[in-house]
Amino acid sequence: MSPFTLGGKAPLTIDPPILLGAGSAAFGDVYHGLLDFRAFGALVTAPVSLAPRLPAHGTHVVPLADGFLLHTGLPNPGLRKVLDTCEHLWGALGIPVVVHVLAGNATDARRIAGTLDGIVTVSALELGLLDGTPPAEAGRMVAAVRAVTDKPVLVRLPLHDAYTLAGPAAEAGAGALVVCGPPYVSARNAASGGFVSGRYYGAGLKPQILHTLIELREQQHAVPLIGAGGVYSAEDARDYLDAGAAAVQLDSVVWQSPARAAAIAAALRDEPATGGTPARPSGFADIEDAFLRGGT
Amino acid sequence: VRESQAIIERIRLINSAIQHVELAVDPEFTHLKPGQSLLVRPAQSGAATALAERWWPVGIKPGHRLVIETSSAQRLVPQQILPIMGPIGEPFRYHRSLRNVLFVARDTSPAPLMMALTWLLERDAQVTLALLGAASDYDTRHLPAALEVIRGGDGWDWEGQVMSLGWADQVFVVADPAREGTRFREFGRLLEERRQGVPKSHAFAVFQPPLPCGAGACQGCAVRLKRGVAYACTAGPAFDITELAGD
Repeated sequence: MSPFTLGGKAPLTIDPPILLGAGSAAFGDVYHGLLDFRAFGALVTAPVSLAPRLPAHGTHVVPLADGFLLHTGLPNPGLRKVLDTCEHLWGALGIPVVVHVLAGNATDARRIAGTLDGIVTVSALELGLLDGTPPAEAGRMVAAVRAVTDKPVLVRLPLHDAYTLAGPAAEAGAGALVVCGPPYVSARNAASGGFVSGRYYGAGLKPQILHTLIELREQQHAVPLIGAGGVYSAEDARDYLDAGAAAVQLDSVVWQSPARAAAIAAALRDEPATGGTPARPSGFADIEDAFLRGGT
Repeated sequence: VRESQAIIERIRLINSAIQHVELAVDPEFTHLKPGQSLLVRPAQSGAATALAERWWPVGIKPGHRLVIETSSAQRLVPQQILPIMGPIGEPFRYHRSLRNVLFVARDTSPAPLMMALTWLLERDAQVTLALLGAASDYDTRHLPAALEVIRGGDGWDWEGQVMSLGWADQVFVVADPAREGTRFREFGRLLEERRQGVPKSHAFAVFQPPLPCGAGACQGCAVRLKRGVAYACTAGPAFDITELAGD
């Protein structure tokens, strides 16, 4: 499997092209002795905001048939505290560290990125865009981050707005588009009888991510795509790569079984590199042909 | 925490509601202490991406076997191989001179308390189990005769409450996981009223939320404490009730 290189003034090679996705291994401070970090191409940290954030009140996890809803409030001790405790740890992990930037506006994004630019153990940044972010604001946020750092900047798109935000993010200088962040869903809250909303992790994501990857590849944004979400096997990861992703992020499979996550990375690392443009996904041409023939 | 596999050696129906499952495990897993648990995936591959279940050992047997208490409705078969992760959490912390202990279960199975309860009885402590709300249906006939069992109504009331709360050196409480934050705060207020103040390390809330990771990564089991945030899977399951943050 070919390594994935993020271009720019400070290029970053990710080998194998399988990353620990945002929050899957927290800030790199968990799973020691249980997970060989060096089996992966990079670690994306849990979201880091400028100021500390407390956990959400109320229900945090709702089991679903093929996964679960997770409502945390994205707690973190804030940028300064995270750096105080993790800066040196990241240098010892043996893989590139990508800090996931949690910012609600361009000003905060710029301040976080400006601080991270001076941290040598941070190899790249991942900016998380939220559902409902206006395209112009998305562009401003990416541009604000790019303006203060030469490190590669990944932009994680929200699933429901991926098509509208991909263009502005790419044009503003995203080094890669992460497709996608876990979508927000709702489920019944047993405690209140009402509904609780949160991020969805589960196998049901894969067809949506696969479709979004294929559509974004067709849009030709001239930046690499990284598939994320719904990956529970090497076959799932391979499907994303075949659909046009240059790399794949793992999330809840790491929580479920660190050994399985490592096995996915190992399986893909050991595959021979194919090189060139990924093959058009099988079946896609058939669907297109069916439309051309007037079928369904 | 480590990943491994367990084999179901034996399943024993205790009563119409619960069964005890004997698991053959790696030797390290037999060092589990009261308060610690396992994450287990008993389902077949169709639900491989669903959440793991939390299994609470109620005993340890020779030959590297753990005894787990589960619902008798759960379909398990001998020789079934299960992926497991553990130990989850930290052991309960007891006073060195512990003599009288009160365990309280409200609207949930007392299974998270069972290993501690048995362990203390074997060390000649006086142990009382208060079963409240839906927990009052729990059949205790298989438990040691030395255990005092009290059954209460739907709220926090039970007969002789003033005496049992005043007499206890330590208290451990479990509640319906969907409401445990609210329930533990209620219990904390009850203790304050009954005891005119609650000393540190006296009463512990035992959290048992669903755990996506069990390792402190997913943040799904965050507990707000007066001194900050802790995770029930790594720092729990038991937290000092006086350290829980308010609403």
